[in-house]
Amino acid sequence: MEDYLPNEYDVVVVGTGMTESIVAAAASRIGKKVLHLDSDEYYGGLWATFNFDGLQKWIEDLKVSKSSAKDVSEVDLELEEKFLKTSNEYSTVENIEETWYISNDADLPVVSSKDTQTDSTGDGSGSGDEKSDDDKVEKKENVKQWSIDRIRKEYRKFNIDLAPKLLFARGELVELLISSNIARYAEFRAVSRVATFMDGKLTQVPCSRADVFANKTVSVVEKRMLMQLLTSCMEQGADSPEFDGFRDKTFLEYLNTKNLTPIVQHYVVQAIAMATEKTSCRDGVNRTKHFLNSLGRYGNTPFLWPMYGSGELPQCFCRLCAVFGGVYCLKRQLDGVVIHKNKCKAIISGKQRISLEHLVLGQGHLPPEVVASEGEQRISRGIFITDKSIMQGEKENLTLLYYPPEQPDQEPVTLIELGPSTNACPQGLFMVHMTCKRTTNAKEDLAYVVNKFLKAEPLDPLAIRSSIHSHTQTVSPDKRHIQEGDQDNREESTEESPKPQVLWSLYLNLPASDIKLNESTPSNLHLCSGPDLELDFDFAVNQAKSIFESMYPDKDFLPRAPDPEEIVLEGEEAPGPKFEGDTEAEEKQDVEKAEKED
Amino acid sequence: MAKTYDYLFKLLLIGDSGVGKTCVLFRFSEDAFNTTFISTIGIDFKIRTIELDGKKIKLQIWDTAGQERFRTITTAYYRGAMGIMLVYDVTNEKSFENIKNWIRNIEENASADVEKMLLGNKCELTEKRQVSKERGEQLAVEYGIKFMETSAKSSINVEEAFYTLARDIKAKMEKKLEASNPPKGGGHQLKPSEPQRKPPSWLARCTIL
Repeated sequence: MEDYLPNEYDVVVVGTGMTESIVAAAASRIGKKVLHLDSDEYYGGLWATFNFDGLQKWIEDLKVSKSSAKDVSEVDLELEEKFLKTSNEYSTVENIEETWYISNDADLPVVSSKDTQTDSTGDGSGSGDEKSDDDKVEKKENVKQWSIDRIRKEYRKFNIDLAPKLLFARGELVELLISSNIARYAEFRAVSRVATFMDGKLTQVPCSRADVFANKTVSVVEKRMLMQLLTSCMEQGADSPEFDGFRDKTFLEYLNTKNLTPIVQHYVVQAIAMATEKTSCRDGVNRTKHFLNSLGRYGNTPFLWPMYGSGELPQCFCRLCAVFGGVYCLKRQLDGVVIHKNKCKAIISGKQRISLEHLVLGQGHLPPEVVASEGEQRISRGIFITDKSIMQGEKENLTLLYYPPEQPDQEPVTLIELGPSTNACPQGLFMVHMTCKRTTNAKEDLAYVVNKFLKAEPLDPLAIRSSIHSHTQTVSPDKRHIQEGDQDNREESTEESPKPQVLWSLYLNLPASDIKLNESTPSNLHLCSGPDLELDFDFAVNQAKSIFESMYPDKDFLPRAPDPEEIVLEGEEAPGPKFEGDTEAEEKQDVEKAEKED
Repeated sequence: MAKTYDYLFKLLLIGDSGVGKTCVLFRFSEDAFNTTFISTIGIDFKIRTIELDGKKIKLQIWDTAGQERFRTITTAYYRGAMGIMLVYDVTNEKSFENIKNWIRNIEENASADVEKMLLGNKCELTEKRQVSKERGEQLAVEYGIKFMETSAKSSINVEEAFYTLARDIKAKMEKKLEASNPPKGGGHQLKPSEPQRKPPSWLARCTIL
């Protein structure tokens, strides 16, 4: 049954992606009457985060086309009104390929009465020590072998992002979350290391000053060199005379004039600026500056990751919108838009005609008539559940790796690896996200990076069984041993620890984020793009800001929302000290209420 | 500055529109009753610190912000909640029937060991009652949770209900601490004045337990 909604709003927002949600919050915050709809039953659209079960449902639903949009003839129109059907063709997800590399419980070898046990501590990168077996006896914890059934059963412990994004500690979104006081709805973890692939192996990029000085691969001279370069990027910026000769040159060309050693150049290009050979000098300097600016604010690296996934963040803005009176309705189809004299006058949703001043549409709800170009910045995504980190360390890490193309026809890939402490997956597993610009399809685009860092071949249950038998004399028949066994047989270099085994993977292509509207688009119809290729949410924040400014040019964009303690309804001032620096409770302020006697 | 409490509990209010969640919240946090909130606007959460067995417990109680109206509560709302008050209206049969839907919602989204309690609100409206106290008790038994009938208007049992829920959470938490199995560290919130905090202590909590 369809819910009946009030018929008149200042702003109707359709789609609960990042940009839509920010605009909804901003309009509601200044007292506008907001209706926020989504045709899906979950928040976030293509920005969503799902648990394992939810993701399966999402994949299933994609196979069913849901084009129930009304025909013009069914809509009652007034004089001079025009009806435009909306379409979901601009949010089409393509080339979905889901693969299991492990078996069902029934197919697994029975490991009799003994519990299978896995050592979760790892043996440190590159140390290939055989004697660690002794240590494992002490450190092992009870972990059953992973099967399809087990992953399905623990579905709630997964939070899988369609569009994973990191936040620069001084990026647009962090600043907005703080200034608007929406930060109280979310929790974050610092990315604990930025990795880079150098001389045939992964190494951690020294980010903090302490890291730089502790780093043994960089000489003192190189450290000075690095500091000088970074300082000039930081202090002078891309407009400084320092970069005068390089206005139309690449960042690499600029660096080449600096006589940097290969290691220093590698750090700057691949880890700090995350640049390619084609990156312009200006972009390279700006990106370096952005990176450095965000250092030292939270944690060891410039980046933050939202707990429970990126999909939480649009919801935080929705919450603020609701707190200020915004009306929410999910699983509610938008059928079309009523246009009158080049203005959107209303939307048609089911049996209802809902009138509005401004219409904000996610790109999955556009009438094809207003679209000028579909855009080119399409996205290839790969999601992998693995059994260990790509670069094992003493503790659980949250890793960012930028991997530049090996061949001219490849695109650089951003890899984010999440562990259980982010709630991305259960203990004992890791979640790897890869993202790049689409050239062919997701699987092909990402293949060169997958092959480099992961072992994406099916684990044959029979092979497991024989491996277990051959290892009966060792402590525990766990998967790590099995892989080491496999590796040994294939005379792999013993220097490197084995690659993580992929247990499950999903490839998909997301639509372009740079869709353009044509000139005949009504001026009160505003487009919100889907997820873009950049690491952070800057694009969405800036797009939301500019939509809000075009709607309400004289109004503040998301001014700070009061803390609950600041809202005085009964006319009495809540007394009590301000409160800071609490390490456990994460409370910004604490105004104590006078205690009542029980 | 010294910490002014020993524990912080995040509690949620859940239930159909109009059952009096916001009124229950105001009765407890402000000892006031106001019938003028038509739906919940501008109320995010309320805070009250109580004392139990000599421990100061700060209760941060979150309201639905009206997002229950079309069953659009965000998954983010449930994150980190330690206790949930499920509220129905004893004069509204439907709101009672919907409790099982809300419980399903909680099971899907909240932490598995969240402490729950069932409240039948508006118990002062004896003339209009549609749901008997026995049925409320019965349902609570079914789910193995505690139950009380409350009246935010007449100030009946509201105080007791929150103290009961807080006591149960505290007991569960202390049991976990005793078993030297402290709850896993969560994430961190962003603060405008944050950077004084040293990175090492910040990251120390990221290690696997």
